Order: sequence, then C-alpha cells, then structure tokens
Amino acid sequence: MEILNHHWPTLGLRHRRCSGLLLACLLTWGNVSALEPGPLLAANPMAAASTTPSEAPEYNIKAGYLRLFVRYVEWPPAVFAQATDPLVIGVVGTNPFGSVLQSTLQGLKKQNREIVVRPVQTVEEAVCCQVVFIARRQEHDEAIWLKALRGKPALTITESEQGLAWGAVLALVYEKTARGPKVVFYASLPAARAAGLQLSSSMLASAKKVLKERNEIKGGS
Amino acid sequence: MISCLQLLAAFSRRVRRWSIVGVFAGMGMASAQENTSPLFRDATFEELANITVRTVSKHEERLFLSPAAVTVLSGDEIIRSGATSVSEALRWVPGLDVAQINAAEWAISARGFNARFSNKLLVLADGRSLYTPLFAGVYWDMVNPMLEDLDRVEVVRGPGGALWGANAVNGVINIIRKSARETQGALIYGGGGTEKLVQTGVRQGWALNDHSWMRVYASYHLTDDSRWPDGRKGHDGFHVTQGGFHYDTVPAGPDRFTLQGDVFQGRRNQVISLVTPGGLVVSDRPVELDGFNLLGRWTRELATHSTLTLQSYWDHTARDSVSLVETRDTFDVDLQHNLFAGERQHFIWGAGYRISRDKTVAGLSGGFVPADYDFHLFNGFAQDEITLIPDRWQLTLGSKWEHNRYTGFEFQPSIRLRSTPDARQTFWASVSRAVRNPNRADRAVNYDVQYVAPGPGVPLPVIARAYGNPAVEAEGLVAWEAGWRFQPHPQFSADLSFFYHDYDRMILGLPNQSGAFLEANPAPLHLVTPVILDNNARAKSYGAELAFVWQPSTSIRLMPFYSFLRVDAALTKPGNGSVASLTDTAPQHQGGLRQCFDLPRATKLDLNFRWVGAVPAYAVRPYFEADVRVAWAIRPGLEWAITGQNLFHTQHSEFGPQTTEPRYELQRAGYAKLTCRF
Repeated sequence: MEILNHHWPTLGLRHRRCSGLLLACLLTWGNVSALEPGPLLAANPMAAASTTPSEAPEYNIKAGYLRLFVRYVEWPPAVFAQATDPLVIGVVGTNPFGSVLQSTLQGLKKQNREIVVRPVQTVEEAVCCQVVFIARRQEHDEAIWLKALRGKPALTITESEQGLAWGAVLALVYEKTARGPKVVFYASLPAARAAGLQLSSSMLASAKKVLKERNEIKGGS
Repeated sequence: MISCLQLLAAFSRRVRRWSIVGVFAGMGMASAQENTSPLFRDATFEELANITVRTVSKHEERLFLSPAAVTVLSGDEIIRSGATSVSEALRWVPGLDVAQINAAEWAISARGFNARFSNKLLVLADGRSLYTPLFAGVYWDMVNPMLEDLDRVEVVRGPGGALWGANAVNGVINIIRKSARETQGALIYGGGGTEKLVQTGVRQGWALNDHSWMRVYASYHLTDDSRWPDGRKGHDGFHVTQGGFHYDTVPAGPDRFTLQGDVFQGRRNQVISLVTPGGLVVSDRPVELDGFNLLGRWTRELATHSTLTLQSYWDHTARDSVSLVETRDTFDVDLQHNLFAGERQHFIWGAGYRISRDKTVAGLSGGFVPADYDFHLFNGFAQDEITLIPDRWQLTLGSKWEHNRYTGFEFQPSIRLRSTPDARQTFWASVSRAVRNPNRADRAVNYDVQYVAPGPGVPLPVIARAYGNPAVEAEGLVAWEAGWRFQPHPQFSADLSFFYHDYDRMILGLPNQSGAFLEANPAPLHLVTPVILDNNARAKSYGAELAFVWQPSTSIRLMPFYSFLRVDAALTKPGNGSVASLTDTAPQHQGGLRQCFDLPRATKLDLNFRWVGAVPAYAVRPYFEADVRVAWAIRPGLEWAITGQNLFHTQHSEFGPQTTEPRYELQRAGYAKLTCRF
C-alpha cells in the first residue's frame, strides 16, 4: 500500500512530550540534545521536518518507529493489572539498539504509564511484555518466539517479511530506493486482531504493506 | 607419498567481500554510532521512511535468503559446543570435512580433497588471509583467537561468488571477532582437564570516550600429547601464548576506524622421520612458531549513500621445524566501494594488492628453489546485485580479475539467481568459475618424500623426490550449485544444497621412472626417481549437504545434518600414478546431530554426535563420536562448565600420515572451565 495520507501528530501531544524531552536533555543527555531539534522547533511540525536528517544509523530509525508504534497502538485494558503498571518493551536476545531505544523513548508515556525496556530471554518474560521486538540476530528461532506469542496481547515486531508470515503484528524492513535503503514497516491485521490490538488508521495508512488475510502469504498455516 | 604434494598448494587470496553477513565493512559496528547520532523522538512515519539507512549493517542479509551454501556458527554456539578452538568448532558445520591430525594440527576442507594443507579452501580472520602461500594451506596451530571474542564463523561451501577470488575454490571460512564495543568489561577464564591441560585467558574492554572503544586480551593454552596407535604417547604436546588488542572509533562524521593486532608464540613437540640418502633420520626437535599482525580499516560513508572501505594489514609469521624453516611477511591493501545504483541495483567493486615475502631454509630432506621469493598479487573485482522483481527474484553477476606473478591474469565470473516465491522458502542456483593459483610448492619444491632401502633387487637406496614445475598452470573449476531453504512450520526448517564441480588441470605429482638418475652427493650413492608436479588430472565431484533444525520449544533445539560427496578423477597425461590422493581423501558420508537444551536453574546442556565415513587414502575407518557439555550460571557473569569430548572411544584416528610422520590418535577427554565476567 502506498502512503496515502500525510499525518501530523497533534500539537497538544507535542507540547506535552517536549517538556519531558527538555527535562531529559537537561538532566542526562546534554551531549545528545545538541543534535536534537530544540523544543521550540519541535513544537512546529514543519520546522521539525526540516531538521530531520537525511540519513541515520538503522537502529536509530527503528527506535523512532518503536516510539511511534507505542503511541499509535491501543492495548486491551486487561493487559495491565494496575493503573500504574508500566508498558514494557521486551527485546529478545542480543539488543541491537544499544541505549538508543531508551534514549528515544525518553519522556514518552502511554496513558500515563511509564515505558520500560527490558531484555527478554524466556517466553515467560516475553508474555509479560506489551511490545516484543525480535531482532534479525534471532533469525534462527524467530518463528518459534512468534508461535509462542500467538494470541497473546503483545505487539510483536520483527525485522523481516518472514516474521510477518509467522504471525508478527509488525515488521520493520528495508526498502531499496534510488537514494539508498530506507526502513519501512508492514502490518498484519489478522495478527493484530488475534492479539486484541488496535492499530490506528493513520498508522496503517503509513504502512508500506498491510496483510488483511492470514493466507495472503503463501504457505500460511 | 605423492599425496603429500597434493596438499602443497596455492597462494591464498582475498578477503572477499560479499560476506553473507558483512565481512569487511561493518563487522559488528552496526550500532556503534549511537552516541553521535540523531534520536527520532518527533519524527513522523513518513519522515522515518524517508531517512536513508547508513549502509553499515545493510549487508546483514538473512541467512535464509543468501544465494549460496552458507552456514554460520555464532560465538555463543561455538562456546556451547564445548570446542576449545575454531577448528574444533568447525566439526559441526554440515558439509565440512574436519579431521584432527594430532594435538595441534588439523586437516579441514569442504567438498573433498582434504589434506593437512587443503589447498582449495580460503580462510580469513577479520579480513586477513590465514593462508601460507608456501603450501597453500592453513597452519591451524597458529589460529588461536579467544573464543569468547568470536562474533561468528561464516562458512561458505563452493566457490562462494566472484568476490572471494582465487583459492576460494571449494569454500571460504570467515572468522569474525566482535567489535571492541561489544566486549566491554573484564573477562577471565580458567580451566583444565585430561587433554586440554590448561586453558586460561583474560580480557579487558573499556570505552576511551563516548565514541572510541578498546580491548586487550591474553591467553595461554597447553595441550597434552595425543597417542600413537599402539597406545604410547605421541610426543606432540602443544602450547601457545597469544595476546592482542582491538580499537574501534566512530567519531562524529562519516568515518570509522578500526585498528587491531595479535601476537603469539608457541611450541609443538614432534617426532618425525626425514628422508635422506642414508636412510630415515628421526628427529624430535620441536616446531617453534611465532608471529604478529596489525590490521587497520577505514570506512567512510559517502554522501551518495555509498561506503568506501580501505583496509590494510601486515602479517608476520615464523615457523622453525627440522623439516623446513619459513619466515613470511605479508603486506596487503584493499579498497572496496559499495553503492546503490537506482532502486534495484547494489554494486560493489574493489581492488587490492598484496606482496608476500618468504625466506625458507631447507631441512635435511630438501626445501625450495629458490629459497626466498616475493609473491605479488593484484586484483580487481566487481559485483552487481540486481533486484529483478522486488522480494521475489534477484540476480547477482560478478567477476574478479587477478594478476599473479606465476600465471598472469585469471578471470573468474559467476552468476547467481535467487527466487523467494514466498516468505517461507528460498531457491537459489549458481554457476561460477574459480581458480586455484599454483603455490610456491607447485612451482619450486625440491623435497625428498620417500626412501626405499637397498635390498634384494634394489642395489642402491632409492629416493622419490618431488619437483615443482615452473610451467604449472592454475587449477580451474566450474561449479554448478543449487539450493533450497524452507521453513514449513515455525518449529522446523531445512537447508539443502546440491553441487556438481568440474575441475580441470588439477595439479598432481606423477613419478617419472625414465627420468631417474644417480646422485652421489650427498653420500651414499643413490637413485633418485623424480616426481614432477604438473596439471596431470581432471576431476568431477557431486554431492549434497542437508541441514535441518527442529525446535520443539525455545529451550530445545535439535539440528541433524548429513552430507554426501563423491569424487571421480582421471589422469589426463600418460603416466602411471594413482588418483586416490584426489578421490579418496574425504568421507563419502558424514552426518551428525546437535542438541541444545536450556534447562531450569540457568543450566545449559549440549549433546553433539557426529558420524564420519571412511577415508581410504588415509586408512581412516568410519567412526562415531560424541561431545557433551553442561554449563551452569552460578550467578550472572559467572559460569561453570564441564565438557566431555570424543566420549565413545578410548582413542581413535581421524587422519593418516601423509609423509613419513607417525599416525596419531585422539583420546577421550574431559575438561572443566570457569568463566567470570564483571
């Protein structure tokens, strides 16, 4: 699916986020903040767009996607036992983000919940996460993780189309373009339904590919 | 006896590029730029989708999609296998023929023609060639990276694409260590056992600043004697001390630098018989080995979304044994440019130059003429990866041109086609030409390989002397390959590859009876039968390599594998000689089963079985062996492991003597090891 709508987040959201961002910059990320669009700039979508770099390391881009996914996906309320429970992002196996994911998520809250990033080694740990990221390094057992998480209310994200075929909700994949490789995302509606997740329509409009039926990928079980 | 010369082989080549998981650029630096990079807290989906990925990890293609017969052992898998060296870990790669000769030496090849110096296999460590151009083989006793440093070992069976270059004929083994950033903190290990008497090592990694990382390491390993078939000690005990450093820096801007080096020193005992006119002379002088290397790599991201990499290294090795002394200095420089041309083409081109300078001192049985030599090698290569239909069909065209001092220009094209009809299967097929250049031995050896004592009907001692041949040409291969990977179920996947190799102008020594002559110096008077190396044979081989993975759960992984190989060869020139040294040097059937279990209480259990068929040329009988490892994490960062190796036999033989050396057998062994990270 081609990108049809150009979507801008609401200004209100931005303002709230910016105060957190500003605080974070001041407290811990002094160095990094120099490279960030300042809060005032960020408050203006057009200005923010103009400061987006034309190229970046892969996992910085992917961390940006994860931040957006957290914002645009709705989990069934039952997944949180208490109102104060954090939203947990589990990274299976070796974490390819380094500290970039945490830094990118800084200041973000989901329905007033903190966002926590955790390494995941076992299925028991994974089912306690609302987002499970399965990195490329995990190719050898990606399918089995996805099978174990099938039907669980977790937003499963892989880095391959194969992962989508195995039941992941989202896949962050390369797209080759004349200007070099880009990162785009695919979404699977049946997998989202099975997990009880709501993917916002504006997010789906930005997906490069949306699977509507399970059997869209040949060989599907 | 002639077979011993088979092993002598060609000058290694290239660091070749087209690594499945990114050999040369990249190397574990994927996420190293975070501290100097932008964070995307306010970008929209559209903005993110418009950012070009810096090409660093672009080439980390999924193994499932690679259009070649590839296996990757991760560093973790290697540790879990209980291996104490890279060569030991290679036993678990389907389709590789891995035979331990004695306590420190190994014969390793892919798709046949195995020998102590398998001359059709290219072995690289972090982009540095490990071949000795003298015998065209790898001195595996000089390959001792700390296993805890390994990121992965990639094994490509077959010519592996145009980019690997000459001598990547039957396969490529690519040993890749972690970046300095991935080895922060301290690590200490210590252990010992019945054969692996002492294993100790220490590593320290630290951040120099927010964009530079460093590690240093040192290790000492002591291995006990193996056994002779009669049960006596083999007098081949081995020890090696090695140290090194690795420095990575990713300053703000488009550049990245790596500087790394190793230094080692070791000694291997041996008892060897040398052929002389006066008879066999037995020597127990040990082999002394030492060396160092220094490698630098500079990668620049160009504004055009392409990457330029410049790599250079200096490698010094010295081996002093009673049969030959070899000192070698290799200087190598390589340039590589990766670029995307349009949406559907990924282009890589490069060029390199290498000089390898050796000095040899002949032993009692002979040596090389001339004794010293400078080998120059120029190369250029280009490869275009073309997406015919996105996500479905991909075509890879490539070629390499080389100019070497022996045979001039060599041209090695290849064509590869990949089809991914759906997300659960990949088909690939390829046709490629590969070349093994003649090595120093093929051209310049002058070595006595067999002695026949005077007796009834033999009035004088007779010596068979191998002669190199300056007119010898490169061996050529045309390889037809096809493969299929599929994963019909989340718990099951298969990787099948099939090949037909057609070799031309194979180098084989044939005795020239009519050229026999008398020689009085050195005394006593003796008859010399020349064995002349020449392009005397052609060969065809075919086979299959099958690997499967079944994972009933995330904590259980079973990996059966099997490979079949058949080699036929025939002489192309008149003469009487055997082609057994081509056809019978690797098992026809091999198989195994790896089993990994993650048990409760942070316990890991690995049970690995292997079955290896007969190797007639070296009088090796089929054998069935098992390794077992159990590891407990006492607390995070502290692991205690017990390993049993070769458990099924008191002692067994995996390889036979190729010259006048004794036959060795390996014993059942056990060792314990404590690893501490903090």
